[in-house]
Amino acid sequence: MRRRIFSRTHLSLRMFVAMVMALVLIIQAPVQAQTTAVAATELKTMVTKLTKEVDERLAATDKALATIKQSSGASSSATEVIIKSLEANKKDLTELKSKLSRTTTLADAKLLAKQMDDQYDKYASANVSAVAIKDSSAQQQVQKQLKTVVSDAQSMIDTAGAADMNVRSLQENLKGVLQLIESIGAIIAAVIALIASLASGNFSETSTIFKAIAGQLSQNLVSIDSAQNSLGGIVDTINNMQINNEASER
Amino acid sequence: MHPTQSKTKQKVIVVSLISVAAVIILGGAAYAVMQFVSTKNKEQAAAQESTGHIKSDKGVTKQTLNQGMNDLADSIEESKAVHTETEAVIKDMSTQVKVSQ
Repeated sequence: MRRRIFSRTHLSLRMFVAMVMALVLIIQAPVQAQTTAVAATELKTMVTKLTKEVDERLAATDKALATIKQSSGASSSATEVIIKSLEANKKDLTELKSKLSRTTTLADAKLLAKQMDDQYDKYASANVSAVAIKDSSAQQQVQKQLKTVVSDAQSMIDTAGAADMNVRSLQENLKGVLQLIESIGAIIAAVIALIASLASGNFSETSTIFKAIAGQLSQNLVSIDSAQNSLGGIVDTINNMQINNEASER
Repeated sequence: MHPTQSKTKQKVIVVSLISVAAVIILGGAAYAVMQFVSTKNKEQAAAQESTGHIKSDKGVTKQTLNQGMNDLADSIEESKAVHTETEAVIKDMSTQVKVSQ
């Protein structure tokens, strides 16, 4: 007896299964389309957010580069280290931006977001180093000007002394101011060396040190104010003195 | 004249002479001191009159010194502004917003 490959029941069952599957596919299609649309929107939102962040970091890095290149006074080795860190970050950020523009999946975008979070530490360290070195350079410039005024005041005191005027008190005051200025200079030099060593580090590990540096630079400003006030008093005294020209023209 | 009276008169004369001498000596000393002070004052006044401008051996003048103080004040103000910016950047960078979250 010839065996039937498909019995009627079997066939009916298969047809039922096929119909159910077709029904499932018909029902699922819009859901699938909706899921794809949501993913596309999510991808677009994420890429926009990441691109905005990269652009902000690039702008901040460019600003920091311009700042440090304008800074004068800090040692060239310190500024070179920071410039290298900033340029390396700029390169990384530019590559990230390029990758972002080519990203087609949410998974890739999320991976890039993770990379950006990991890159933040270096970005922040280099940028904070740049402003801190600008700050130190500005103080170094002030310290040099203080020394120039002290030198000029010393010259006037020498002239007054040569004219037999009593300058002992002035001389002692000026000596005190000079010591203060020298200590300010030593602190600034140490701060600059420290900043250079932190420029390529991780900000999460160095932020406390940077805060301490900012605190030290604040203290320096207090010392600078003090030196300025003392020097102002000395200059006022010199202004009220009458120093014989004969002594100066010898 | 009685000898006692004569002696008393002599004593009065001597005391008078000594007094006059003391007055002369003290007056002279006072005069000398006054002269000394006056001379010093005159010297100082002469020195003051002769200084229309003050210039040190290194060519520094009061004007140089005052200009130096003015420039210093400007630089200190600039330095304070830069420092304020530094503090702001450190504060800003210390709060990282994670883009992956």
